[in-house]
Amino acid sequence: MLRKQYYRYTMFLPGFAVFCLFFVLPSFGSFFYGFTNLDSGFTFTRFVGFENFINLMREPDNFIAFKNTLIFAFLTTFFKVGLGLLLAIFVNLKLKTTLYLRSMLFFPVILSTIAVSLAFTAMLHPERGILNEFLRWVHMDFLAQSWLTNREIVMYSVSMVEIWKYTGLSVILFLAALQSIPKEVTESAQLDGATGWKSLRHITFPLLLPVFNTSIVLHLIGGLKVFDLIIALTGGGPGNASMVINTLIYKSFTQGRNGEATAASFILFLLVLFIVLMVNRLLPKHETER
Amino acid sequence: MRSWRKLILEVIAVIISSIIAIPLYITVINSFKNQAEAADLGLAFPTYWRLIENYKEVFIIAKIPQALGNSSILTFLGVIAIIFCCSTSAYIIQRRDNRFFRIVQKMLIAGMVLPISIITTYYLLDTLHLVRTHIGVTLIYMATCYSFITYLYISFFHGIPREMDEAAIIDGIGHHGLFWKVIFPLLKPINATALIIAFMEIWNDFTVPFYLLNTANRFTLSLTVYFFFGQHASEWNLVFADIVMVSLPIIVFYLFLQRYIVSGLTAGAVKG
Repeated sequence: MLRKQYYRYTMFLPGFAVFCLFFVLPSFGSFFYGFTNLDSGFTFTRFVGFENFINLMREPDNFIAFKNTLIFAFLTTFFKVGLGLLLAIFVNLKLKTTLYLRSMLFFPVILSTIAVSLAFTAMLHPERGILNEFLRWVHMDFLAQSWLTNREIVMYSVSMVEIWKYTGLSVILFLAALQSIPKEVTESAQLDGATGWKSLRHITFPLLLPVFNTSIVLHLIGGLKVFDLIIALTGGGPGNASMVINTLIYKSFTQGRNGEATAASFILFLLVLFIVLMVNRLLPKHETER
Repeated sequence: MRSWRKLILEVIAVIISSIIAIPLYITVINSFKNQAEAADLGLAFPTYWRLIENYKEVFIIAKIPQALGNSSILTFLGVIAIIFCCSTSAYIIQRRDNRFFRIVQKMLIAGMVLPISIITTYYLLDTLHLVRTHIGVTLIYMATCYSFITYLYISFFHGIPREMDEAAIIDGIGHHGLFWKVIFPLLKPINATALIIAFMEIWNDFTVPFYLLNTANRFTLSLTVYFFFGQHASEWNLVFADIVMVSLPIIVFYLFLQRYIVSGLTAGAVKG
């Protein structure tokens, strides 16, 4: 009786109603409209079955978007988490310069992706960009590339920018976990003769495992949803070489094929769901985890 | 030997720092050059420092004041609405904890992971005549941030004992008073976290306004810099000045609240 009076549904409802109307409803909507020939004015004349999905999968111009999304998500996650872990251990050494490095690392994370990406179109400029200038300066001209206009490497170039921007986030996550490891644990391990690599391998890593798993899932989701980075760096080009699912949705949308765009967005929905469930199952669990 | 190793590590730290710093430096330094010098995209100092000219020019042609206004309105409305809705929802979800609310919690987890279905969202707003309005976009932000931030609040409410509620109830407080007068003042740390997460999310967002505010006088800062680049791609000095100007508000925000931002985002990510 007390509960009903003091914890009222009317208090819970405003937020939840907005969530249901503007997030849940459109998600269910995509399940429905993905199977129609919805046009630019949002009217549809018939159900087309799986036609939208087949078009998306069969056209090589479209299919590359799915491949690229997966490459981007897994590649950037691998480096962001890997480098993040290394840098966190490094920064935790507490040298004079690492304190400075620590605040430096987080700086790109707060900037807008659009601003960073536009600045990087200058850094990756084939003739005058700083990256190629640097490679020529150290006499490694053969490594200098047209980073954003070469079909073969464009996906790796955009991944590089994403890694530059977001590694700081996983550094901060790992660092917080590292600093929460009680000193007694590492000290007693040291007394038992575990130093350097051994202490890292048997003490630090197992205690970092939960954060490790979280940041993998976090970065994978972020990578699968990538949009603004690609739009600002390449616009999906050259040709379709750096298209991802979200740019494909935008392309279909601007061409007035909303049925197809909705189908693509439904595929992204399923892909994220599938990968998160898979990864959650595959990630190593440790007995210290509750 | 010891000091040698230390020196090497210090050098590595400097190198990594410069990988991050150099693009930032190039952006800033080239924003002070004239068009011909900036086209070089290099590290050199400008021969003549155009400290204000470029910025003044961009300020006017990129319509920065208008964009700043739009970004501020969206962020302000969004943050207030999110804190209000998520804290109240979370309170009821955590205190009631029946079967219905356990299903709601499952929905929240799904909402954190899954992407927004942008086309059908556009369709919905179109039907409600909310496309290209601040209210429409704010509602989208509320919906996309709802699951994550409500979840944060729920875990915070676990730490506020029910005895607190009961004591206030015995003192004869009403249900509004219970939340707003007794509970809400205890939420300061989590409100700060929610504010920071929502602020960063909305201020830097590009996708939602790109689809839903696609009309020149509703552009946000991220949109103006994108379209400005499209029209002035060869005038690098102006493009860089625009990038710097668009980034300044968030940089100021970061410099003042650095400690809170770092701990807020960490707490958010780890719990999520």
